[in-house]
Amino acid sequence: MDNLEHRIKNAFESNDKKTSFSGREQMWSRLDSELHGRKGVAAFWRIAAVFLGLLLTLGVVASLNNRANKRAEMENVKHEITTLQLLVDSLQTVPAEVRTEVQVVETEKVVYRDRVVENNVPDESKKWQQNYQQAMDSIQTLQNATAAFKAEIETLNDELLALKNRTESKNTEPAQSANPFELKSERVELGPQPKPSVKSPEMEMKVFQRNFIENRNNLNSTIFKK
Amino acid sequence: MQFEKIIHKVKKGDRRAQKLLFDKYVDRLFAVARRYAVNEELAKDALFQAFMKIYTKLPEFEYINEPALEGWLTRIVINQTLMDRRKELSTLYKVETLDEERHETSWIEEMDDGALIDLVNELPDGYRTVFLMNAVDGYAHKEIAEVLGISESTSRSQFFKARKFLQKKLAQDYGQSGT
Repeated sequence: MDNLEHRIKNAFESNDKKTSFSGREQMWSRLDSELHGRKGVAAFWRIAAVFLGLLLTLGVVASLNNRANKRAEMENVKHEITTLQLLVDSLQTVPAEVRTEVQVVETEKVVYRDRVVENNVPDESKKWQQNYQQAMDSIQTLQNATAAFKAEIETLNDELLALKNRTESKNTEPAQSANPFELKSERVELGPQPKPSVKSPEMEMKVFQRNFIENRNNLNSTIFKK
Repeated sequence: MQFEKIIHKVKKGDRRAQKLLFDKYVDRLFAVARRYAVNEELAKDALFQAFMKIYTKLPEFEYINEPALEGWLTRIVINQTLMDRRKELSTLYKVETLDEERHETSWIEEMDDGALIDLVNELPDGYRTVFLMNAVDGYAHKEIAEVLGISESTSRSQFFKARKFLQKKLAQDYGQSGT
C-alpha cells in the first residue's frame, strides 16, 4: 500500500476510535422494540397460522365427508328411482284381466235399536261389549221366534179345539146303530224257530278253533270251501 | 472466549447480549456509516438498518475472532450505507483508461489526522467512495465493483484519479509535492 493511503487509513482509524455516537440510547430502544416486538408479532402470527391451518384442515375434512354423504344419498335415490321405474314398467306390461265375480248378497232383516257406543274404550271391553250386544240381539231374535211359535201354537190349539167340538157333535148324532167293523180275537201259537238251512254248502261258516294260526289264515280257504 | 459466549447468546436472541454487542460497536460503526453517507441523518438510518441486519444474520455467521467479526460488521454497515446510493454513484462513474502515476511522499507521515480526513472529504463523491473502500476499509476492486454495480476497471480508474486529486491538492495547499 502506498504511503498516502496508509496514512489516510491510520487517520480514519484513529478518528473512528474517537467517534462517539450521541443517539445510542434512542437507537437501542428503537432496535429493541423492533426486534422483540417483531418476535411477539411473529409468535402471534405463528399461533394464528396454526389455528387457520387447523380450521382449514377441518373444513376440508368436513366438506369431503359431506360430499361422500351426498354422493351416497344420491346413489340411494337413483337406486330407488330405478326400482320404481322397473315397477312401473312391469305394471304397464301386465295384461288387463277381466274377472267375473258373482256376489251373493243375502238380505238380512235389520233390527234397529238404540245403541250407546262408547268411544275411546279399551279394545278388550269393546270386544266384550260387542259380544254382549250380539248375545242380546240373539236373545231378542229368539224371543221373537218364541212369540211367533206361541201364536202359532195357540192358532193350532184353537183349530184342534174346533175339530174336537166338531167330532163330538158328530158322535152325539142318533143315526149310528151298529159298528160295521167287528174285531175278532185270534190266538197265534209261537213255537221254537227252525234251524236255518244252508242252501249253498260254499257259504257254510266255520268257527275258528282256539289254536288258530295266523299264517294259515287264508280266509278264502278257511271261510269258503273250494 | 467470553466475547464468543456473548455472540452465542446474541444468536439465541438474548436481549442483554444484544445490548452488549450494540454498545461495543455502535460508535465505530457509526463512524463508518458517517464516512460513506452524505449526511448524519442518512448515516443514522443506515446504521439502524445495518444493526437490524446484523441481529438477523448473526446466526449464520461463524465466529472466529474479534477482528473477523468487526470486519463483517463493518462491511454490513458499508453495504447498507451504499445501498441507497448505488444508482446515484453508478452514474458518476465512467469507464476510463488507467493512468497510473505514483508520487511517493515522505512528508505525509507528519500530517495531521484531521487535515488528512478533511482532504479526503473534499474528494468528489465518486472518487471518495472508491478511495475509502479500497484504502481505508480494505475492499478489493472486484468487491467494490460488485457493491457499487460498476466494472472493476472503473473502480481502479476512480481510485487512481482520487489519488491524483489528493496529491494535487496537497501540493496546492501545503506547497509540497513528492516525487
